[in-house]
Amino acid sequence: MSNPVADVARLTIHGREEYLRIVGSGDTAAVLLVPPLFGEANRCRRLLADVMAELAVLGRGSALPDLPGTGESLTPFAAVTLADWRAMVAASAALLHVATGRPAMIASFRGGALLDDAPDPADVAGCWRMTPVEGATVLRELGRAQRMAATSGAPISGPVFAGTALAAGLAGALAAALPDGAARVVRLAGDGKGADERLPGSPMWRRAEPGRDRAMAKAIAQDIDRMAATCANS
Amino acid sequence: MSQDAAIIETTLRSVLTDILGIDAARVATFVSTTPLFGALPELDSMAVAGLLTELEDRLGIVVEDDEVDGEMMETFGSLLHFLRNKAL
Repeated sequence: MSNPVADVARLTIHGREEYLRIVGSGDTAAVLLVPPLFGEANRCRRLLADVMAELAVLGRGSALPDLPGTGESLTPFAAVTLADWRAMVAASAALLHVATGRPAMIASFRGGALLDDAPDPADVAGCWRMTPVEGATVLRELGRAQRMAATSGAPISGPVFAGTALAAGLAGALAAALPDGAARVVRLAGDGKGADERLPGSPMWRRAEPGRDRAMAKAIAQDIDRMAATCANS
Repeated sequence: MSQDAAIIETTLRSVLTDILGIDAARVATFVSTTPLFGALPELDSMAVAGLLTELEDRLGIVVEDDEVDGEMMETFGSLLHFLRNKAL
């Protein structure tokens, strides 16, 4: 990036400090990766780190936020709302815009596509989505995982993640959330739904154990880089 | 075997590989009596959720939670039988 930035940028989101990991450099637009939501984010952490490394090989910087209440964030998950996550993505895009002097490419994965329309359009060069899902689908799959893993203990009404109930401002807002705005949509080769491009790989977000697929990460990085190169100001 | 029935079997094998991380060569050796739930350490209750959701997506079916039990997941053959009844 033309103006070096810290490896970990600190952002203030609704009064709390949150963290954005930044990798690589290059005189090009940076890519803001928006991770999947809930358990899918954990299963895809390795994949996203590999995508960042591959983007760096291509000379393109990238950034990955820890959404409030997840990863290194100190915000209690029980208090997190969808607005917090959207504000984090918006602030991250704004920071990359300032740091590189160019609008950022946004590359979202799965439920991350529900957040990628949050930034100021002036901060965004284009949106890329891998296997986007609706908020209602995210909640349904969360509910199934919760029921399948049900153990003894007091049942919690409503959606739960890792033993913590989702705040009304998260569950309620997710129920109605849809991916919005124009984007290049990519899916895996085995996925029958419509897509602009199909990439090799397997649905890492549903793996029983976190897996690693360097070829998939490389294909993702190359497709993002190609789209970034065609966007204005990249 | 009809072509559709064969596609369901192929889909089940590739989902077992993709979701449970079991080597494709090993999954290719699974026969109808191969035990699954309780026999594969990869297939715990959380993995069942991911496995069923991926099968729903690829086969265009809906599986209700109350249809999921140890019997249905007992062997490769019992799971395949369940999926064929759903999809065909």
